[in-house]
Amino acid sequence: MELFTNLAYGFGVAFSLQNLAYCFAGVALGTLIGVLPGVGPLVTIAMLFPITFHLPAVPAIIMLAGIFYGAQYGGSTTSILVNLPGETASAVTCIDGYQMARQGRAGPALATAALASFFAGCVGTLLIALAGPTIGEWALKFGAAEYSSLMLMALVASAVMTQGDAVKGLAMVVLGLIIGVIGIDVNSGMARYSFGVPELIDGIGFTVVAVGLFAVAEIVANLESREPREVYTGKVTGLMPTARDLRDAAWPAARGTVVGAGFGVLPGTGPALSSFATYMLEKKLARDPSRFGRGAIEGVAAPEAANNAAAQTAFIPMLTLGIPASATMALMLGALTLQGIAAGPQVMVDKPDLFWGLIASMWIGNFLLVVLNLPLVGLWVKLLTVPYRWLFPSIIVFCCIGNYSVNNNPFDVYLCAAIGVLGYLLVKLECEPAPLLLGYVLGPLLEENLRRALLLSRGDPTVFLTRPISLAFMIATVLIFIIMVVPTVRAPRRPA
Amino acid sequence: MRPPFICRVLALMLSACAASSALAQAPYPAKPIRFIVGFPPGGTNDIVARVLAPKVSEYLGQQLVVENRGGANTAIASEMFVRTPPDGYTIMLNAPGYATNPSLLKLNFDSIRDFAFITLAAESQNLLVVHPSFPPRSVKELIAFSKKHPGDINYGSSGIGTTVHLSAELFQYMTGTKWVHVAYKGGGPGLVALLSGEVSLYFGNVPTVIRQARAGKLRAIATTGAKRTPAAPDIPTVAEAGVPGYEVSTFYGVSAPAKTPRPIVDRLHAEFVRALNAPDIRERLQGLGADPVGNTPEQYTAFMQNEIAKWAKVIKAAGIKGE
Repeated sequence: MELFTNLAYGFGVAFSLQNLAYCFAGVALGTLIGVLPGVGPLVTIAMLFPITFHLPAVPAIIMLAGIFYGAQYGGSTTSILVNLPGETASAVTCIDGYQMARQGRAGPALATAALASFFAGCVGTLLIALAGPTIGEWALKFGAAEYSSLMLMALVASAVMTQGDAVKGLAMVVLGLIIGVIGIDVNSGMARYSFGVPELIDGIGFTVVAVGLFAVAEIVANLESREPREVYTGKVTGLMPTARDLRDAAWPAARGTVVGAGFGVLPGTGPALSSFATYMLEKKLARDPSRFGRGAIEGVAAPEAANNAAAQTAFIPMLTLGIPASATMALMLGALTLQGIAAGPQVMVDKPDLFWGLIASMWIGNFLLVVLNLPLVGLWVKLLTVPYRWLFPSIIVFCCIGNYSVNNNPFDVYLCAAIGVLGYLLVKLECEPAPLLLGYVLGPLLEENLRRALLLSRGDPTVFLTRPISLAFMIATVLIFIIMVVPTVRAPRRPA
Repeated sequence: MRPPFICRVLALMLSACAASSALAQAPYPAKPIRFIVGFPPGGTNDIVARVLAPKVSEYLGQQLVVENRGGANTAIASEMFVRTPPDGYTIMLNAPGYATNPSLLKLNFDSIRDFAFITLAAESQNLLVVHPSFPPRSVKELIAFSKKHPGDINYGSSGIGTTVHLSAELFQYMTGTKWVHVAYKGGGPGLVALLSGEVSLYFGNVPTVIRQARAGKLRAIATTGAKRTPAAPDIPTVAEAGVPGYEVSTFYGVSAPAKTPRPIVDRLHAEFVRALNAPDIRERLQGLGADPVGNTPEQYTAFMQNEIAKWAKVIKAAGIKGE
């Protein structure tokens, strides 16, 4: 069993005192920046970058990796507690996590998020160890046609995201599409809907949209109500999930892991999409879908598992192909390059200590994260006892810092405020922000890949049906459509 | 917990303000220097800045703080930058986008007159790689093959107006060939498309693509520089392999706002050149595929004028439009 020899070797590397210390430092820092909204892993890794010059390659990469996946654990905390997505990937967790907190179940939600992340992290790491190179090759099978069909399928399935009025849901998806196309078009290089404002040339960032729609809008809506805002602690029902919670969360977490692991490997689509996809899947599979959006534990377990699984498998293209799937990965690749290590097809052979040491450290890191995060649950829940008059200015300050820190540009802060106003209007109109966010993410990806696929096929649309993976997605799209349309046609959609 | 913390932060900020006004009379540099990078963290530009900053900080005796202000291929950062006081406390890393922006975007500043160029810190080149299934094995074969199949060959890029894209446009412009451009969002997806064979050609950053070529996943054809790259001395340049005069460089230069006093420019120039000659910095830059240069402010200004003029010609001939 070569795998066990390799893993034993990897644990030998990772359990050295130095590497353990850097792993712990990485995950602790990752948790912290994950909790602080806006201060993301990208900015943190960039700031720590020069430190890695003075470290050997293995501890350096172990620490940077720890920050990256540690942030996925911390990111759910503010989503659940105050409806503020700490990281891109945890925006979906806001939907049900925040509702659980409002019902006094912040503790079980936080603990479930940590446990689901731990499970997914372990499985994701196992996947890298078992089949990293094979999975890496799989990413190469996804061309423009496959991406287009996948996005189309996700967009059709997104109707599931809506809670009530289907027309409103559709309108929100379209509004998201419109916001998404602002900026330079990848295919033609033309700036669209930028109105000559240079800041709009690169489009509106995900953080700006997500923070504006969820956190800012929520605060404005809360301030409006005259009665003092509910203090959650009055009805906190236990810090840890009950046996029933765990039973409800187990399968969603497992399915989320599978979906997340798949999306993580695809460069560019990333963890955000994986958490949306798995949320839609759970809602479709649930016996009572109306519970979603009202504090369903599945709605926390599945996306949190997905984004952490994706955070692990995102290492596969970087380690086995030398391709960064995101800007954060590009920085890690840069750190390796400066150490004289060529990540890529040869790394497993040339640098087994790095490859297997990193994999083993991810297991240790995930374990440390659970040990670190579970005792913190009580502390986080206490945070909710802070009077609202202190809490809401703090949240707004963090929103501003977070949006500012991405580009160091105040424009993003103003834009977030404007989107907050839009979000408030949507609350008043009883429109859900989640389908908007999904349209915003999927629309531009669908357009980009559709046009690319047609450019490559010189305008021949059959390309979507002649490539097997694309065909499979197309068939699935039709099936999903039928499943959704048939009950609506037979009976009027039940208002939820 | 909270109010005292905020008080402390405020106190800190106030004392910092007081300190900075007191230090205004002290010899340069009396306070930390902002080093603006026109991209979000993660790209080669950002990494080059972060490699240089600690060393130059050490020599100047003041911190160089890297500040990312991404957007519009450095145009947003440049626009903010030219309005900062010309006191030597704000400097910027110029990237290739800087030379192509005047031809692609409407800019609210002058790309030459509003800057005091300090030094061209480093230059890197691109490597023309093809998918292994693509028949041509040399520049000459590629030209012949392209002429036989006009409009059939797809080449990938990391986005419109990037050096990856413009290297290919310059090639077509100079050889009279016609390929189809397929733009991707960034170098990662672009490289995946080449590895999977979705596109046949790609002018990639040397360190990124050379390891793919060494592993046999891609075939290297030629480099875009004036000279062969030390990272792969066995690979010819496009110019020597059949397109004389062809040259594309990805440059990393340092500038200050116009009207920065000459003694300050000279001081920054001296310390940057000193850092570029330090063996550990040279080694790190070369690891990124960037060869240290460190020329004079005059040479760098002339270089920039030349680059802007060259790309204006190519962009016009290729019919690329930005806004």
